[in-house]
Amino acid sequence: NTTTLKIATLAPDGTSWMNIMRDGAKEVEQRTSGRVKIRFYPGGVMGNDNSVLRKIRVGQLHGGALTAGGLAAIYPDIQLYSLPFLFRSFDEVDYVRKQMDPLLIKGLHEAGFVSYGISEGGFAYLMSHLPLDSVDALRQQKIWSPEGDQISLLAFRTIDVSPVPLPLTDVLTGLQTGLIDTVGSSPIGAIALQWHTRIKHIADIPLIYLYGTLVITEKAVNKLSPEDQNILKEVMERQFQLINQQNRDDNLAARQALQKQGIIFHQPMNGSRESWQQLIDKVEQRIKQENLLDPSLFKQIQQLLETKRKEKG
Amino acid sequence: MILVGLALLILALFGAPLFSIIAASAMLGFYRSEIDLSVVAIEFYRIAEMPVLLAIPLFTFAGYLLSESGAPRRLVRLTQALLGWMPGGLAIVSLVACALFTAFTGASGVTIVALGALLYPALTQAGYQENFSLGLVTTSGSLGLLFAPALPLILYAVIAQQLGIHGSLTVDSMFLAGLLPGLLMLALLTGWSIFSGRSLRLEAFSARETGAAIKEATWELPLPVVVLGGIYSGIFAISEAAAVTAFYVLVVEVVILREIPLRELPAIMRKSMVLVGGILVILGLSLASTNYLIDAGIPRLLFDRIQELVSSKITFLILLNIFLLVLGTMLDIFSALVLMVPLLLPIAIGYGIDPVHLGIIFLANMQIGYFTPPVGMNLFIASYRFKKPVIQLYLATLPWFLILLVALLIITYWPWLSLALLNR
Amino acid sequence: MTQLKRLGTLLLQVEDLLLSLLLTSMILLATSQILLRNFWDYSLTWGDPSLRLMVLWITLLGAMAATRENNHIRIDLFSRYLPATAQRISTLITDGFAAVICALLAWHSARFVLFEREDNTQFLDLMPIWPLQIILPVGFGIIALRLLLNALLNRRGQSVS
Ligand code: NA
Ligand code: NA
Repeated sequence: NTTTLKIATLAPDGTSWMNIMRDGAKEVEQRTSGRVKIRFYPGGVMGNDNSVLRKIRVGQLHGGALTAGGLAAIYPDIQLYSLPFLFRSFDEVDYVRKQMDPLLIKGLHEAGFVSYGISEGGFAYLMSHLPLDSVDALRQQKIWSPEGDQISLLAFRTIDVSPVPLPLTDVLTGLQTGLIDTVGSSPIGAIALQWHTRIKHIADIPLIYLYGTLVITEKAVNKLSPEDQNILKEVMERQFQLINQQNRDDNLAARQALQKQGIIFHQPMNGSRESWQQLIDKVEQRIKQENLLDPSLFKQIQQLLETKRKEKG
Repeated sequence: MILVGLALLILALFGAPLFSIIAASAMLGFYRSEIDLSVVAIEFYRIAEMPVLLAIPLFTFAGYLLSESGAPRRLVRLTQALLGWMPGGLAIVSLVACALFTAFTGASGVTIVALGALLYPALTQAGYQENFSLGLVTTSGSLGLLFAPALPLILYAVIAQQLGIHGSLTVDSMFLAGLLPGLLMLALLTGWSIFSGRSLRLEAFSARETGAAIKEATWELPLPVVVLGGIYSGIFAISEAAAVTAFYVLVVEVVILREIPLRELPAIMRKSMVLVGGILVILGLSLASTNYLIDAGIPRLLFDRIQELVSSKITFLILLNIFLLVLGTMLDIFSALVLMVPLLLPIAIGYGIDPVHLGIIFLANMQIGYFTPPVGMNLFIASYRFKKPVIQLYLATLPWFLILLVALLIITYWPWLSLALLNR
Repeated sequence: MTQLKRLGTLLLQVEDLLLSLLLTSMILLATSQILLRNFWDYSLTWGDPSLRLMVLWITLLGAMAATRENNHIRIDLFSRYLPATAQRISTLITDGFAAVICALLAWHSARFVLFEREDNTQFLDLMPIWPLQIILPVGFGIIALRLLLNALLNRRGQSVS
């Protein structure tokens, strides 16, 4: 008897991301002698994250590669890493994730989902058509916020910026027509979605850490024999690790490509560093008050970051 | 399975509402795949998750309001004054207007319900035959997908880019590539319009009549300027253009010109929303039937069958056209793009087809798919809007269909047309 | 009986009023979003998501009205060639069939709304979303009833073909 696991993703077919997933699926099928097949529905054909979660609930799908924001509906704390201005470097990310990833994966498990690891999408930076050399300059601009994204909205409102909420599909035309002039995006995202053709400046401060995870419902996984479950776990976790590394490399390469294209990366100046920092503190304070996340997890991540920052000097 | 399909077909031919046929086929498919039928509701609910659909009720209402006012008569007078000396004048204006409108709103039938409502009475008033006028507005419902800033052009570039296609396939290059093929289609259809309107009376140009006609249409003339200008200057998003149009038309026809009394407004609103309900309920349920096709992997199966038959670039292109035309009648353009481009592109490149050229071929096919008999969606929408039998729509669009097939062949086998502006 | 009839008329009027109100608020909301953004530099976060839910409501209210007027899109090639009695039977079958399908749609939409309620899905942190989705089962349910009535009373008004 064969089990087919049906998995939806937003990544289009043919991307390196999907290729790694498909390689994993092939290996799983081989090593379980065809007992476990994985069928992917790429490119968002199953709808957005909400729609995918609904289909998982009624059993049409068994899992999905979902963004942290999408998974928040079933496990709010998964958004822990996407607090604005949380991380300052990839060093900090790696240090924190080593200790915190297992906690989040455990949390997902308690919500009924088996996660095969978290994969990063990179840091989102503010990118603009106009200079981004000061906080005041930022306030003058028309910033895009992803429609329905409450955390980024809260963050912008806190620093007195009123963003323009638009669906993803309207962003490029929005940049072209001047409806918006600033977006937050990772370097690979900006190039893939062609936004890089409309921007000249980047504020070199990590704005938000982007990531996603592959989850399959516990119910579907439990139907497999324990050996098959182990094979699935071993292969998919390894592939997801690969994707994680690949995204890191791609983002660094994309960053260089943007630099080569002549886009200016603004380091926060000595004078304005302070106001950037004030702004960051304000956002942190506000999110703490809003109490969107489990306070103990929040405290733990703060402590880890403090330790790391002290160690660095 | 075949028997049930046949039964559904017979029910449809005897007049069961189309939406019930689509819903039944989706539910049957899911039932046989042992998938919970509430998936149909989940898919239908995606109506509330697609930003572009907002344009449909707003533009439809604006179109109804305009068609109930004196605007069609004023439009006819103006084009007769400006282009009355030229055979096919009004038809050509209509084609261009529809193409521009579709470039902004997509081919979801908005052009037919909004502009068609205005143009169809105008065309028949000007003396064009009923079937010619019907064919024009139905065909024009998807004309313009190749002109910037149509969303499918952008989406194709984004998907191709993510596949890691070398040679930087940008949105701008797709915008440029679509221009000549789009103009070719427009030119061929213009030729047909001039030919069809050859027996209509021509009038000498009169500056006085033109002035008077312009004056009469003072309030409607700014509309295209406001909408296009507003979008290009960034004052409003594409999805908001519909709201501006509806608001502007409401103020002009009800408050300023007072051609429509306030007390008639609820009835017009209701009438236009009946049309919107009729169309969107079909759209929502066809989301579900499309989802069944995707779930069962049917597009891929179809593609694999076709690929077995391929032996050369020419056969590949012929089969590609047939395949895409069929696909265009079954799937909406966005599902078709994300599902098929990743499969097609590597193979097309293998046959030495430029990725930009493939994109233009793809979209040209999809455009025609919208009114390919017997199930192209726009045929039903036009039948509904103008209260004509679907059969009459098949006949009315046939010459237009054949002409665009010729254009499609030229576009497919003459890559220069798509690539000339790109310096490739 | 007359009271029942009066209630029926009242309900129809409420339905029509709701349709006009929804469309009017859509136009006003969408237009004021543009004004707010351009003159006061402010964006409503709930603006676009609400507008899209209104599209869903308009869809079902419009389809309900279309059923009332017997004005749905049909292919219908054959029935016009049938004699009167055969036409009546054909209407009974096709509309009866559509009524059953709509009843199924209503049932499964109700389950969908119930799931959303159990999951406590939110509309932008503002409120539970299920009351905003209730139009799905209600709308399909009313359409089913109306189709059944059409089938039994053999009304095929102004079908397009
Ligand atoms: Na919008
Ligand atoms: Na189509």
